[in-house]
Amino acid sequence: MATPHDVPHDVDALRDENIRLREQLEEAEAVLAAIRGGEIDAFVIAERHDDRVYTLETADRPYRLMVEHMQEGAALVNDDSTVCYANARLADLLRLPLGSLIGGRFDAHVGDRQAEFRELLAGDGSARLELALTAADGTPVPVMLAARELPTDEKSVCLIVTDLSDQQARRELEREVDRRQRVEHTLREADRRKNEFLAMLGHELRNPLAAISGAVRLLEHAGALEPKAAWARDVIARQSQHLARMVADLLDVGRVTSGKLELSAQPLDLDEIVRRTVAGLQNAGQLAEHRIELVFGPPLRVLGDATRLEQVVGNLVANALRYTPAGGRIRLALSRQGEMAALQVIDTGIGIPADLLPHVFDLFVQGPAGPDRTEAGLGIGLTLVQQIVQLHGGTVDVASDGHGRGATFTVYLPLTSEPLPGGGGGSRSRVPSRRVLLVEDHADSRDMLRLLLEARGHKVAVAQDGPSAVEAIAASPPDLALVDLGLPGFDGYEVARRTRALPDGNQITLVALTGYGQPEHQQQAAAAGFDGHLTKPVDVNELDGLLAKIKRRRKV
Amino acid sequence: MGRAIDDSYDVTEGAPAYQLHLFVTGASPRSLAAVAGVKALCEELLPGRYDLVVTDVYQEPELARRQHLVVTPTFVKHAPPPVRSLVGDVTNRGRLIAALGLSPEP
Repeated sequence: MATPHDVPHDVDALRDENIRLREQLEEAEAVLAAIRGGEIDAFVIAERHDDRVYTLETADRPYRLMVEHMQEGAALVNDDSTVCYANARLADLLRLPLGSLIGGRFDAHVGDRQAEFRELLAGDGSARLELALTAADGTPVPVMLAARELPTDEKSVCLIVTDLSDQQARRELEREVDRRQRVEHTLREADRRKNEFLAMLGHELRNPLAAISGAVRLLEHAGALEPKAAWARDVIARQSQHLARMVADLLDVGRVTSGKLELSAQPLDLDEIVRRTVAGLQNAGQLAEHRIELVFGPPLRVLGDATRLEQVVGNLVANALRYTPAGGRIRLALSRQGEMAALQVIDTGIGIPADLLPHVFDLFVQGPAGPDRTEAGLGIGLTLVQQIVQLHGGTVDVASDGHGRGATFTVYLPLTSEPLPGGGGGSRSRVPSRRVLLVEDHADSRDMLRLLLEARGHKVAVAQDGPSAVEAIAASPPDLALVDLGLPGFDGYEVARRTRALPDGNQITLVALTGYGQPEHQQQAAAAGFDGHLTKPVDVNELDGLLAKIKRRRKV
Repeated sequence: MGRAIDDSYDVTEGAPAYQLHLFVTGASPRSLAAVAGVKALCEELLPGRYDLVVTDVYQEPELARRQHLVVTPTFVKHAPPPVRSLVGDVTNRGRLIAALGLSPEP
């Protein structure tokens, strides 16, 4: 029987229930609509003990793509390392088709590292195994393996394979760089020690050389020696001078290499330098067996260190002398080429073979023995030439047509328009310019001595024998006459006597050029009326000193 | 051995007698189980006499298209003839033996 309380409850309850049902229905319809409309990612399904999430494909896609496209190889393997899933990258690494890799066994690629591989699979995932997998074609693939068991129902281990071959290459490169750096360091050390040794050697050698030079000078002034002894003394003098030059070159090379060579650059005329150098060589008797030609154009001014440039010219000529047989020709030609001065040293000697040509300027490189080999060198001269020329901002080239065809060395130096230092130039006349008569019958000696005097700023006339000398003196009296004692016609003594007999004969300064090591001649010369004497080969400084001395004496 | 990864399997001299193909979808549990199960069975029943190619239809979809697949997993025996296939639970021992054309076990 319905109570009065039930009736309204019935209707209300029905209504409430209706509302509740409608709400539930709407919820259910919404869920169905969402499912149908592809708006959901996953179902949450109540299993016996917990809720499981079942995802639809679209939600999974990013993770799947990530694994399929990552840089590492990835695989899921089971207990016996059967590959149940793998990505394309791993198939690439192992050079297998993907279809063969999946379903195959991973440990087939592990080689003799089976035990460590098993350990890795069984581990907690923190370990890494570096090894070389064997690809299908047998090539080793250096990789790093990481393995971690997945929390799935079935036993499944996720294997990540990182390709190390790039790293391998980089490591090898680093090792190579390291090795080369060590080699470079060793070489630099060796080079430095070599330079130190050369410098020390040069310094040490100077003392003995100085002692020998001193002793030789004593011998020169000790009076006449019998011919054999005199010859021996001359040999010692010449050779010790040669040694001294080699030592000086050695020290210079060391200085240039360690950057300690000092240059004092001045504007100077290149033809000046060449003349002086050639004259110096002539005085030392080194040009006696060759024909020297000088070809000059207008003066060429460069910025340079006079001493060092003389060294350059000297070394080039010495080199030409060494490799040109007696009677051969050495030409020194100066010309202007664009903005550069060009000095060419051309010889008619044995030439330079093509395989030696690129190395002539290298330190200690020498050619084969010269034809008249009296003096060996150290292979330093040309190196110094190149170094000094380069320090001057220039270059030096060499050309040769090969065996027997001579060689041409060309030095290029930048021209300068700077004027010569005031007061007539640093290298010119430290003594006032004089009118000089040079009496010498030996053609080459005469030419070279004339060059030397002209380089000093003197005006030089020449005579080749006694009679023409006296005629010249009478016709146009010079300030100074340099007279070789051994002359055709009548000798130098006679020239002096006849000169003094002239009306103004005593105004003229007369200097005898006596032979090497013949002190007895000096007394005779004084008796004949000479004011002084110079021993051949003539030293420029001695000449200046002598002239100054004579001047003082004559003022009295 | 010239074995092409497509459905024209060549049975040249020296190629294994059984040419088998399994289609799966990535690393789903069913797929992993299918690979492991089929492989294990083949090793047991046909050691050294089979070639098994596994195609992940996510990574190599064009191979699936050629095969006219409807569902995965699907297992196909291409050789020796006749061609037989198995879908769904491919790890079922009895069904797989039948698909391989081997005599049922007692």
